[in-house]
Amino acid sequence: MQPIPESRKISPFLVFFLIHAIQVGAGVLGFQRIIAKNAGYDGWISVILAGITTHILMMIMYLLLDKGGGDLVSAHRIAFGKWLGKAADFLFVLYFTLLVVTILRTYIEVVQVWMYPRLSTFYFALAFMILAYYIVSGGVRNIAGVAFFGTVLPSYLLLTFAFTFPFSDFRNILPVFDHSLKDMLIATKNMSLTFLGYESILLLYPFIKNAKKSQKHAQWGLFTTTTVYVIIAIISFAFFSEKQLAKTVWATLSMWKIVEMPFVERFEYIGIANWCLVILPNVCIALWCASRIMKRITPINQRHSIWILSVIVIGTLSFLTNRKQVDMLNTLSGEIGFYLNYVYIPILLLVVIIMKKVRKKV
Amino acid sequence: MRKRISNLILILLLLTGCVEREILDDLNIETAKGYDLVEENTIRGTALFPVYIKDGAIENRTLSAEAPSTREVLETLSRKSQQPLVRGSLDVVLLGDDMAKKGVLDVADSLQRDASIGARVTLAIAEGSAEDILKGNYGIRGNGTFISNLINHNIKRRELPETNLHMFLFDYFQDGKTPYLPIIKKVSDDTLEVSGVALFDKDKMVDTVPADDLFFFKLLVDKLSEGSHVVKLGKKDGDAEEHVEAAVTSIMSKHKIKVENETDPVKVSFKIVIRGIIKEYTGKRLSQKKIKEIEDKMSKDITDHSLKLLGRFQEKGIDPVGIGQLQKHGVRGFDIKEWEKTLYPNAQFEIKPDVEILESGTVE
Repeated sequence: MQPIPESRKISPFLVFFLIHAIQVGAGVLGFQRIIAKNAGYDGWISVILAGITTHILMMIMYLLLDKGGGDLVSAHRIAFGKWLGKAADFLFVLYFTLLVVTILRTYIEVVQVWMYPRLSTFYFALAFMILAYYIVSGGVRNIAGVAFFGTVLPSYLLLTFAFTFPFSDFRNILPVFDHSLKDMLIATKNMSLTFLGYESILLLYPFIKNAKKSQKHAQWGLFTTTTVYVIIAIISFAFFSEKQLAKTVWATLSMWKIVEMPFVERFEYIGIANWCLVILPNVCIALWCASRIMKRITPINQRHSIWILSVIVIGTLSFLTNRKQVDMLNTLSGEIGFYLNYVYIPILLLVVIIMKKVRKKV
Repeated sequence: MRKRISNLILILLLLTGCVEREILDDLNIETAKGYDLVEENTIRGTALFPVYIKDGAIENRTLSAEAPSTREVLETLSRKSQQPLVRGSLDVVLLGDDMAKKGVLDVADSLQRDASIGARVTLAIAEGSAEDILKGNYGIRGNGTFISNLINHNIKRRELPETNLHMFLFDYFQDGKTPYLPIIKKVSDDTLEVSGVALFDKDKMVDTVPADDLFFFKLLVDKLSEGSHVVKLGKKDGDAEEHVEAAVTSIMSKHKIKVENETDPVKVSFKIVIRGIIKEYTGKRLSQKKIKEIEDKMSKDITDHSLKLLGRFQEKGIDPVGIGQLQKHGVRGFDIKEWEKTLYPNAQFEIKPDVEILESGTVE
């Protein structure tokens, strides 16, 4: 790997925004129903449990980066050699591309259901990807800027949930621990899908100044995400009765239906439009990760690979037309992400450690 | 680089107008809607929309259509409408009482499903026909606004318990609670009146609370409530017919419900705290002794009426107070079937009123 020039690196505290921004995406709009399905109104405990696992995984990833030569591609190379390593890299290209497709398609679905039923998926995706291309081709510093604004600007939206308080009954979450441990663990697994995205650190790492000291910021990013999710989960549990929540696909958006302000009748419209800002860094970071791996394993110029990936994304998006497909897409990328993070990464760390020892002896 | 940016701008210009435009003047914006049952399987839907006339006045227009289901009513209505009917600023949905007895979940579901409809929509039951009410002419701001204001100020300041679409659905889906909605009645062509509260079993109306009992009903179901109650004391001196009356307005009141779930039968105690002021008094002199008497009488009224109401709920198998819901929060592994079948019908109630009159106005 060529060393990254200092001028293209980012300050370590920006890792906080990068990690937080890619975690919070379209999933926040409707994760409540998924966790309540198994764990009922004990689901908020599962959110905390899933949050804790992300902290452990982040530690594992930093260890992997430390031992594995600075990023995912070099770790693969140490573990599997040149060609097999490239094959493993390519899997991650597919995964990050799938993430882009999932995030964008889910958001477009929300816009179609809540605002404009006749919005064309293709044209919206085209406009969005052009913007994403423009940002990503500017490099990591640009993306970090977008992640910063994508976190700070829409953060006021959290305050709007206070409108639900007069209609909320926080006793809904009582009694605590009314579900079996097994149910709570299933919910924890389902919740961990909503947390995905922080594995992008595996590629961002070489671009961070004082990279080794940045773990603190990454952990804070994870912690903030968990806190936000727990707050939203508890507020929605208080606002909806259990069977009502089971019927609500986008509980977070449905809560905005109760917001009433003198100058705006339907707050969801403002909320959803603002959510575009939350989605943007998501798409940019995932797209950048995919193109970065492409750059490392092929001779293709990174700008060109962004182009190619964008075209693939737009093409795939247009084929997904209904709720069922979008749901399937979400489950698919969630499952893949889960196994990559929770199974593959720890194994990879082990293999890297073993291979390093083996080579030393040889 | 400059060329690239100008290309980008060009493309963005081409992208405008992706989505259809909707111009306010070319739409019929529904502000209220009514559903009535005309025959066994025919629903009559009425849509009310305001038409704004040049000098600033508002004309109420209605369209009605009949169809077997609520969804078909919508379609038939659109066929009759000159301009597209949109539901984005719907304020009120009225349901005729026949319709309410048959079940209202279909209507509530279609309202909830539509992303353009807010959760604060006022649902109410029309005594008689909803169409009849919507066809009147009330106030100068249009019927939709009139009805929603009528109900909302009664919720905020008077004896009507708080309800809206969201709360109705919350109660409907919550185990151990049944929903309730206000009833309005047409008095004359330009007057409406809140005449009580309809009680539901699941989504079917099974009972009503008359306007006189609303003060007590609200004390039971709402966390905080206001409202007023007329206390009848002993006979006036030297008058065989007339009672001495005192109108007490509650300025602050709250309730605390405690369910003792270990006992058999289940004991439920209501602590009701009221801080009130006397607005009217028909007797001679309002002494401290008299005030004490009023407080005691009011406490007795609250106990009597509340117990009567609660007994009626048990009899009908409904639970607008949400005692089952409280029980659910208190015990692990709550079994709703057992609760509804054996525990709730045998539950014993105890009312502990705490009434205090703070002021009695500017004269003694």
